[in-house]
Amino acid sequence: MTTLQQILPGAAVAAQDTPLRRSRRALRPARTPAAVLVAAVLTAGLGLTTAEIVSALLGKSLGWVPVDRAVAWASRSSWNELPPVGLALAGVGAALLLLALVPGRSRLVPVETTDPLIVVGITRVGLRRTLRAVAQEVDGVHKARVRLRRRRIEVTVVTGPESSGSMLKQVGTAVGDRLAGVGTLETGEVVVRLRRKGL
Amino acid sequence: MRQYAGNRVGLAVVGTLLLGAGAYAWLRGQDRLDGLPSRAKVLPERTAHAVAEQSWALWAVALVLLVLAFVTLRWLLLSLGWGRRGARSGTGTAMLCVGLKDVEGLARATVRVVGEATRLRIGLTCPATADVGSVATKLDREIVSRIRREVRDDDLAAIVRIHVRR
Repeated sequence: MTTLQQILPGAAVAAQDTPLRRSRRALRPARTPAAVLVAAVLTAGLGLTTAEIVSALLGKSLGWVPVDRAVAWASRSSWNELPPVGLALAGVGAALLLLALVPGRSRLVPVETTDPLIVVGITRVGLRRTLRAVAQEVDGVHKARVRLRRRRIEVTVVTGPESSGSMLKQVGTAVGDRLAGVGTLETGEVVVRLRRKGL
Repeated sequence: MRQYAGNRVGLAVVGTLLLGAGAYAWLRGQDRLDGLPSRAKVLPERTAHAVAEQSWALWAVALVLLVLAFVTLRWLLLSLGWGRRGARSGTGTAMLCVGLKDVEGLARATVRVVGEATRLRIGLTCPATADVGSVATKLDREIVSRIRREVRDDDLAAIVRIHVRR
């Protein structure tokens, strides 16, 4: 069966490019800490080894990197002594490969925009703070705590002993209204828990 | 619009090389590669002698290592933000602050132009009491468009980061 998406070349791309997908692509974690660590280790290792080899060729060894000892070790060791080293290397390699391939969780929660060229994100901490502030504005709420889970937002409010079930509804409505106002994408449902103080 | 992918590419390359080298060492050590005995030395004596006798080979090794060191140094600088943070735009920042003058307690409002005006990076911090929703809507519908037009044109992509302080 031929569909409209197969007939129109751009249609499939346009249908897949939702605001959420677009924002996720732009706000995806850049893996900076891991990259800085690996790049720094490689730069230092390669640079120092180069300096060591060149200095040895010029007849004055620097002694920064034990290249001689490494060569001597490789000359007297056989491959059947290496499986643990091989496994460790493969493990580190697999971990780095996973870091590169897994999209990861962004530190910014995407916000809906009307312009496809504008991506707006609010920090997770920031979203928690604004939701906590709005929950604490409800009458009778002494304290509120907000947790952002993968598919839901958990709001725990601490109230006095006189609190009622309608307070839960008020907190839920206030948090939901703020979320709708911000226009966050992919935050899921809001779960409100009530904890009475002094009981 | 995509996030900077250089770090992921670098990690994937290093990861693949380590995984390949580790898998080879493990398979060779377990005698699972036909024609390659596990009792052989990692660096055969003949190879060590051949390399030691010809100094140009060591110079070649040093050259290759030097080139690799420069490549990884460039990666390190890029991953630390070199050329990716962009230059601060005073006009853009002023327009952002004017556009959000109704928001009390606005802090750290910055507009940066990345590369040859290829992208805008906007960052701002609001107080917890601010109506973040109206801030985001204003940014999306009015302010970012105005800043883009001032900096270059309407086709400029923009990433806005909103933070809320205590």
